[in-house]
Amino acid sequence: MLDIQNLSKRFGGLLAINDLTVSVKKDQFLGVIGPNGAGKTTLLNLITGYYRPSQGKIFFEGERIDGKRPYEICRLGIARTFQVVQPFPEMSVLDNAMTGALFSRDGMTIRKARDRAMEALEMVDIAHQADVMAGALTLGAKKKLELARALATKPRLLLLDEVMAGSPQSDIDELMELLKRIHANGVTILMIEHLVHVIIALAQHVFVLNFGQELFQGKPDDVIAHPEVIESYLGKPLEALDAEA
Amino acid sequence: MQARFVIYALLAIAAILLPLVAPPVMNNLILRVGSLMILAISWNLAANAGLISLGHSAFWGLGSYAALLVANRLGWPFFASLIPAMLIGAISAAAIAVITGRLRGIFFAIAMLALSEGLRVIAVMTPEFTGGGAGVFIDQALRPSTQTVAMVTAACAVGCAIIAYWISLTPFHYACRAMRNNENAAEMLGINPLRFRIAVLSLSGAMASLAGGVNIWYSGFLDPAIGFDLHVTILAQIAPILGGIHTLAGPIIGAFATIGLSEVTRVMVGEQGFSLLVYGVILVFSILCMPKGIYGTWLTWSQRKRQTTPTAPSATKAATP
Repeated sequence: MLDIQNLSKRFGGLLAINDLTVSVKKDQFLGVIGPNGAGKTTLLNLITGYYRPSQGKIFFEGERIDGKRPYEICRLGIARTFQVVQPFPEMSVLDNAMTGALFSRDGMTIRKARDRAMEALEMVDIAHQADVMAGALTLGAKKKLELARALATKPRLLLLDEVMAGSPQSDIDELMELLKRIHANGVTILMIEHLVHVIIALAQHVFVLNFGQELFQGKPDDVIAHPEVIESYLGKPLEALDAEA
Repeated sequence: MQARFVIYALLAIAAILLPLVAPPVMNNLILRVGSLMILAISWNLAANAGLISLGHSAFWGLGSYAALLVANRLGWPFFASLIPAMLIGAISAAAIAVITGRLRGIFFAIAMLALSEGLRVIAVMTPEFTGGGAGVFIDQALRPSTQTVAMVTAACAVGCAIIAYWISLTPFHYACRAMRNNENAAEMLGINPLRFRIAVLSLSGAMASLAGGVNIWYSGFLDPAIGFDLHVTILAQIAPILGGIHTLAGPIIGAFATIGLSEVTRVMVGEQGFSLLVYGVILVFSILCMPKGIYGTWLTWSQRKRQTTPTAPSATKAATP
């Protein structure tokens, strides 16, 4: 579904993404992990058109998308959440989600958008706060809203940039259930996450990024057992980490 | 709900017909309130999309000069002259939208300020075209009665208010607010910022130029300092901020309040310089005390009152499901 071929992104002297080739298959739940500065968010910014690649190509459902603008990418059926949540604070929760529905394709009316937005809000379980200003929400609710807004665009591919970061355990459990439900509804997901246990629980396939390059990819269990991954990212075998906690 | 619309419609018709019955002194007031209302609505539309303009006098001046030039050079009458006035406002605003690209906030504001000043200098330096610093009178033979100009001003103000209301019901309104809140996030939802920026600025520019175009037929005389007066820029933002920024009613209330206040201080205080000082101080304090403006403050106040008085009918209705 998404094919990234020999992608590179250079910021001055820094090669943030270095000749990276990776693909996401339809209906896959792909997890991307990697240490800080590995280029995970840069990768998302390249896919969604916020950055132009220095080299390489990106294909979505066979169509070349590198060089397209974010609003064009959105209209092709790719949605994204941001690492730092970016709801529209001066708009109500419903209006936020409606904005997602209104512009993601042509011919949407306010009424249709409202129905679709309510659907998305119900999906993430914040429909009861539809009239609240988004700026007044708790961080957990803002994350759900960001998800709902992305879902309201009816994406076929959803890119998640650390949705769990900074959430208490109760929220993490809830968000994990929610992501499973979204995936079960036929949305392909590429998820960047620091919490390894979340990735292991959710992803079918894990890609490890280090210094903008592929370090390893494979099944979740193989990834956490791989010595190079342990060295560069986990620091210690996961059992040892669990024992400490 | 329906009754409210009928009241608004009657008030609008009354405002347009007022010059027919009111004493001629009123024409001046109607003109000032109406022009300011158009400017305020125009400024508020752009502000709603996150584009804070510090140069609305640019559009005002362009409109004034366009109307004056087609009248003097081509002999176009009052109504016809308003069309090129609006067009030049819309076209120059669209050009500004493209040129300023992704400039926002203070950077966009400065670009607009520079535009307005630049146009003023150009008008001074091209005397054979604009009349230069000495100024120029509009063809007296073509001038309609003050009463007609006042009625047209009122009609234009009503028209602009209706357009602003209609826009608030369309997807356009969602795109503008999203862009104001976070342009990056808005773009990921399928919003093409440039497209909406061009649209909203063109509309805003056309309205401000229309106000300028109508006004020149009332004042009859134009020079660069009048056309591109900083005072117009300042009033265009004070009115919506005083009335309630980012609201529909704000610019309308603000236009009445600003002109009303200036009249009251002028009559009460008497002495010219001192009355202006009092006017300014009251304006500054009103905006400091009511950052959400008159309408915004009234909204929060009425909401709070509804919440704290449990006997209010709406509150009891909400409490018993």
